[in-house]
Amino acid sequence: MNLTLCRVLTGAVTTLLLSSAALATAQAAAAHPLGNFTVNYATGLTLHPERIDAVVVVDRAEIAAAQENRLVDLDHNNSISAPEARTYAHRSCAQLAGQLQVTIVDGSPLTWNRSGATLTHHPGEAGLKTSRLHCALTVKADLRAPSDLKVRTTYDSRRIGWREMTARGQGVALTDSDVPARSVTDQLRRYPQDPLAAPLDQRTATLRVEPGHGNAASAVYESVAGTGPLGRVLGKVSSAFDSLVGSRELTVPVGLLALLLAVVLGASHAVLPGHGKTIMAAYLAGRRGTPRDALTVGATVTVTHTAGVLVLGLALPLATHLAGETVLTWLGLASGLLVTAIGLWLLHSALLNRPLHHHHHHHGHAHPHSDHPHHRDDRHLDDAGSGRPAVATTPGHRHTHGGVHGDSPVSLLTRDGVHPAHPHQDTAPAPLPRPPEKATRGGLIGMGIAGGLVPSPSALVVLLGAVALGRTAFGVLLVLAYGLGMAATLTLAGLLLVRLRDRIEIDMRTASATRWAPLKRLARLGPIATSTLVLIVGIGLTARAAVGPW
Amino acid sequence: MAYVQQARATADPATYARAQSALQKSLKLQPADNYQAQTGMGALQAARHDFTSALNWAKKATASNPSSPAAHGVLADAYTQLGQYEASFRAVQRMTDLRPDAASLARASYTWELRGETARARELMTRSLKAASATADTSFAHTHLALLALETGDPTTALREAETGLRAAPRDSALLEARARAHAASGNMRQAVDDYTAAIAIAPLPHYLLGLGELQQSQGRREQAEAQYELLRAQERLRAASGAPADVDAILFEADHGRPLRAVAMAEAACRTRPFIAVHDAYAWALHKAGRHAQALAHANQSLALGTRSALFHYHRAKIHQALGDTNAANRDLKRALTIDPHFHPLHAPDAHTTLRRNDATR
Repeated sequence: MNLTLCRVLTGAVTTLLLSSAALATAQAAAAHPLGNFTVNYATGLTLHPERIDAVVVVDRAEIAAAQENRLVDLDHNNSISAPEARTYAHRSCAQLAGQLQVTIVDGSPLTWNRSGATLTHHPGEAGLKTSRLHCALTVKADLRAPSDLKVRTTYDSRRIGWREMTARGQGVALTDSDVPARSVTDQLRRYPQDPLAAPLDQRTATLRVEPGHGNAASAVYESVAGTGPLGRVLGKVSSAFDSLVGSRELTVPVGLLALLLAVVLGASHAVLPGHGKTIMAAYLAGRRGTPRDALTVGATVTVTHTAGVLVLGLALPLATHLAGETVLTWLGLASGLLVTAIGLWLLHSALLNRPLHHHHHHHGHAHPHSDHPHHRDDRHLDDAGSGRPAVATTPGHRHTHGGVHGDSPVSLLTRDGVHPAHPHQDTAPAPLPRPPEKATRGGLIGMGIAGGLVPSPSALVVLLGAVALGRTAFGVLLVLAYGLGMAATLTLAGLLLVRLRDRIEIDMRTASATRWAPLKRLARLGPIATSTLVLIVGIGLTARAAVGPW
Repeated sequence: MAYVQQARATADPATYARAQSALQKSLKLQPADNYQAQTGMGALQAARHDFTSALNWAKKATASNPSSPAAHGVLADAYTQLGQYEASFRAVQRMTDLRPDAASLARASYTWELRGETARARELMTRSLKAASATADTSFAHTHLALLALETGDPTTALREAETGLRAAPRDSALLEARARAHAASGNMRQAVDDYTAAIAIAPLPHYLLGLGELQQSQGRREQAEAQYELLRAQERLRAASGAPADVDAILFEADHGRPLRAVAMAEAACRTRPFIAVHDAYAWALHKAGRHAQALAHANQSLALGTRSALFHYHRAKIHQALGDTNAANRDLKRALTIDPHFHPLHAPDAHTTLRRNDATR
C-alpha cells in the first residue's frame, strides 16, 4: 500500500493539462518566497585591474537550514556557538571556492584566497530559522590588458533553488558580459514574487574586460542608453527623472518638468545607436525623401513606440511568465525582420525600377535623343540594357506630361514635344521627384514601425514605475512625451539629411564635374546602395536579437 | 498549472499560493465552463489535501466538460481520498475509457492495488509504463512497479525496476527511495542509507526522512536517526503553523517517536477531512499508542475494509488485537503481514517476528 500515491497521481493529472490560465503576480504565503526546501546561491564578481573579488552567498530556507545544522552544530547540543558557525563558514567557503571556477582564457583556473566567511541565521517561518552563508574570495589577476574570462560554478545543484551570477568591472571596463551587473535579488534578500519568470539558473558566464572605467552604478543605464560618457550622463538624467516621477507630491511644476525631461530623454535616446534608427536617415537620403517623409517616419516612430511601451507595460503584469527580456528579444527579432524585409523590398524595387529614376530627367538644356558624353556623368542610373538613348537624370521634373505618367517609354519620347516651354533649372534646386506614392508611404511607415517597435527599456521603466505609484495616466503621458522626443530627433535628423543632400546636389551641378566626381558616382549607386545598407542593418538586427537573451 | 507541477516536484507548499492566485485569475476572466481552471483548482486543492473542495472543483470541471480525462482524474483522486471508493472507481473507468494513457492507466492500477489485487495492479502499471512518453511518467511507473514488488516481498524485482527507472532519471528522489527500500529489504543497509540520503538531498520529504530515521534506528544509530527526526519535527512545526491537516507520515512519526496524544489529535483532524484508508490506519495506530485500543480497532478494520495488501496495516491491527487480548486475531494479522512482506518495516517487521514467536510459545 503506497501512501504517497495520491500526491504523485495528483501531479500526474496536472501533466495532462495545458492551462490557458493567465498568470498573475501573486503574494507568496510562505516566509521563504522560494519555498522551505530551497538552497539558493548568488555569485557576485567584481573585476579590478589587478585582482578579482567574489562574493558567494548561500541562502538556505527553513528546512534546508535545519538540514545543514547537523554539519554546523558539531557538539550536537542543539545550539550553534560562534566558533561552530565560524568553523562551518570557513569549511563551506573553502569548498565553494573550489566550485567557483574562473579561467582567464588560455590559462588555468584561478585559485581563490578566502578573505571572509560568515554564517548568520535569520528568523523564518514558524519560529524556524533561515541561514545565510557569506563568503568573500579574492585572487590576484592581471586584467590591465584586454582579457576574456570564463566563469563556471559547480555548486551542489541537487536541490531546487535560485542560482544567480553577476559581474561588474571596477577600474576595468566590462565590454562583454552575459550576466547582469546587479543582483536582482539584492544578494538573495528579496526574491521575485513570481518564480515562473525564474528560478534563475545562471551557472556560467563569459566576460570580456578591457582597460577603462567600469562603474557598477551606471551599468544599468549603460545597458539602457549605450556605453560611453554620453550614456553615463543620460544615466544621471534618467535617475533624476525616476526620482522626480517617484516623488510623493506630484505638483504641476514637477509634473511639467518630468514631461520635459521625458522629451529630452526620448530625444537623446534616438541619438544613440541601436534599434536601427540610423538606417532611417540613410533610407530618407537614398529614397530622395522630402521633409514630409521625415515627418511621416517621426510620427510613425512615436505612435509605434508609445503603443509598444503601453502594450508591453500593461500586458507584463498579466503575462509575467514571459520574462521581460524575452519579450524584448522577440520584438527585436520582429523589428530586425521588418527592416530586412523592407531592405529586400527596396533592393527589389531599386533593381526593377531603374528606368523610373531617369525617365524624368530634365537637365538644363533639353537634348532630345541626345547621347552626349557631357551628360554621362549626370546620369542617375544609366539603363545600359534599354537600348534607349541615355539621358541625364538630374531629378527635377514633376510634370505628368499631359496625363501620361513618366513611367512609360512613351513619355520619354514625347516629352519635349508636349512641353516645349519647360523651364530651365540650371541654378535652382529642383524639387525632388517622388517614387510611387503608395509604396513610399508603406515603406516609410514600415521603417517607422521597425524603429519604434522595440520599446526602450527606460521608457518601460518609467511607465511601470508610474503604474506602481498609482499614476498610470501620468505614466502614459510620460511615454507619449518620450516618444515625441524620439520622433523629434529622428525627424530633425531626417530633415538635416534631406537638406544636406540637396545642398550637395546643388553644388554638384554648379561646381565642376571633376570635383564632385566621386560623390556623383556614389549618388548614382544611390537606391541600390541604400537598400543594401538597409538590408545589411536588418540582417544585423535580426542576428543580434536572435542570439538572446531568451 | 506549472505552479502545481512545481509544488509537486518540490513538495513545497509555498508554490501552492501562487498557483491558486493564477487559477483564480483565470476563473475571474472566465467564470463559467472554464474546465481547465476548474480542473487545476481541483488538482491544487488535492495537492493541498483539501479533498472536499477538490471534489467540488472536479465536479464542476466534469460538468463543464464531461469528456475531459484530466477532470475525471481529479474527480477520482478526490473520491478516493474521501473514502468514496465506488465513485472513484467509476471516475477512473470513465477516464480510462476517454483516454487510456499513462495517467489513467496508473490510476486504474491503483484501484486494484487498493483492493489488494496486486497482479492486476502490476499489469496495469506495466501498461501505463508502455503508454508513458515523458520521463516523469516512466519514472512514476517504474517507482510504483518497484513498490508493488516490495509489497509482495520481492525486493529483487523492486531493485530492478528502480534501477531501470534511475538510468533514465538519476535525480528522481522517488526512485531513489524505492531503491533504498529494495536495498533495505535485501539487507544491503549501507546502500539503503546512501540512497535515502541521496533522495533527501534532492527533496527532504517526510516519508524519506522517516524511512531513513527508522532504518538508522534499527541499526542502533540513534544519534543519526535523531537528525532525521529533528527535521521531521521542523516540518511539523511549519505544517502546524500553516494550519494544513497533517499527513499520514507525520501522524505515524508523532505516534511512534513523539507524543501519542498529539498524534491522536492530528489524526482526528486529518480523518475528518480525509477519511482515506491510510488515514484510518494512522488514526488507529495513534489511538493504540495512546492506549485507546477499542476505538483503534474500529479504525484499523476500516483501513483494511477494501482488502488492501498492506503489511503495515495488518501489523498495526495485530498489535491492537494483541493489546485487546485477542491473540488469535493478532497472530492471523501478524502472519498475514509477514507473508505479504517479511521486511515491511525496519523496526516493526522484527517486532512482528518476535511477537508471533512469543505468542506461539505461550500457547
